[in-house]
Amino acid sequence: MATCETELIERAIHGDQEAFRQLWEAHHAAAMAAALRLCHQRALAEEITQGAFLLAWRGLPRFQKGSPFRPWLMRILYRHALDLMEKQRTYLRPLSLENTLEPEVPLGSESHMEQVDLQEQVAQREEVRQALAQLNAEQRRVIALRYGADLTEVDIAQVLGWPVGTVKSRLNRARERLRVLLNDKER
Amino acid sequence: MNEQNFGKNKQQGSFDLEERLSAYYSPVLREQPLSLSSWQNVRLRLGSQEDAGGRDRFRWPPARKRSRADVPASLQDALARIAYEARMPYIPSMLRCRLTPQVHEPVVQSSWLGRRTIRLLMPVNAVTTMGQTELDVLLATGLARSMCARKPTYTLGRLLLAGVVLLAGLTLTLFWLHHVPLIGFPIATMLCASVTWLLHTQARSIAFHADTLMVLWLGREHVCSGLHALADRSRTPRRRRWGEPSLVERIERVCGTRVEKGENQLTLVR
Repeated sequence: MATCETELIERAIHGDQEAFRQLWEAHHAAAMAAALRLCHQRALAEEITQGAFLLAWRGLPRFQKGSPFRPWLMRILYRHALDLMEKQRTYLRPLSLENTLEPEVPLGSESHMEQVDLQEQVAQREEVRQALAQLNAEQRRVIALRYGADLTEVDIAQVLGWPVGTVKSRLNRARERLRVLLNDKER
Repeated sequence: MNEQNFGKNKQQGSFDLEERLSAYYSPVLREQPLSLSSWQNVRLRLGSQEDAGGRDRFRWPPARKRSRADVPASLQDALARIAYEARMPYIPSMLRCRLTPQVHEPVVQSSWLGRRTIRLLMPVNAVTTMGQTELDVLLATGLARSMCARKPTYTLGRLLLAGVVLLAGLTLTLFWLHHVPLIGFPIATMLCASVTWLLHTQARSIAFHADTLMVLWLGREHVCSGLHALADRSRTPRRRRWGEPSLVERIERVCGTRVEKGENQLTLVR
């Protein structure tokens, strides 16, 4: 598999679009899931996934041969997702019930109690979204990567190109601010 | 599990921030395959990998062979991202970077003759100490200026000015031939001075136009943050160079404020 992938990457570096299509086939579904988890909007997640693959295509000549493709792709995807989300100010858009559900679950198939739970869940998430909207862009970025991508502080530093210490301090400040904002809402 | 936590937290009247954030982002999702049309959409925009090297192949004079290793990968990645936002083809060879102890702050230079090249002069430690926003703003500035400089309006303006310089030369020669150089010299000098001033004005206009483009690509918040960071790093943020607005001027135009970033943050404290 690894050898096969290395070969595909090598061919893609030389402009073979069919090889790149195979890389797309192997990785796009996971990339889309990661993007959807970060941005909660299917259309935007698709745009992010496509954009990340385009950036990967252009960046392939700089890809470090022998290293795994997916972590490299995901780093590109996370950076691209954060840029696009900030640019489109997605954190200012209220969450909807459809965004809360996983795409496989059709809306309207739940019982009344489940619907009530879902609405409660949306309300809770909406509170978090509003609190996130009050953070600055850098704090939102670290929070998204920490909780929306489950990255460690070292990985976040690598994705954002910041020193690890900066990531830690921004993460701590963001958490403190969120604690204050969400506590205020609970009262 | 996350849904249960939400309910429990509500009942208890307290919350665990970690759980609420994890619940907000939901657990890891199953893979989400996309339709074939999605790949088609990507494929249409792929272009060819050879585009990057192929465009300069038949240029004269031939460009000096330059290794991609000259430019740090982080800069190349950042420029690729910005080019993507700008819907422009990314050509790795268009970025040239020089790390030198002779400069104290990063400087970006783009050719106002309309070449695609972006030159980045950086202090030796800048690659490790510069934040991503600063880097994005620098690279986007270079890209946007080189793009604006190629606009027909500006190109035509430069051609006209080149014509004026020729006229000045011709005037000087004619008066010289008629043995009255003392009359021709001030006229030619005046024409050249006017051209220099007009070029300066054009370069500033390109710079402001480029800043507007940059805001479209990166977003105002990101650009403001980057410009403020560059101004903090600069020893002379108010200094204007030839054809180049000062950082303070750019901040005023882009962010619409004279307030320093630090002061701005203070006023937001509740």
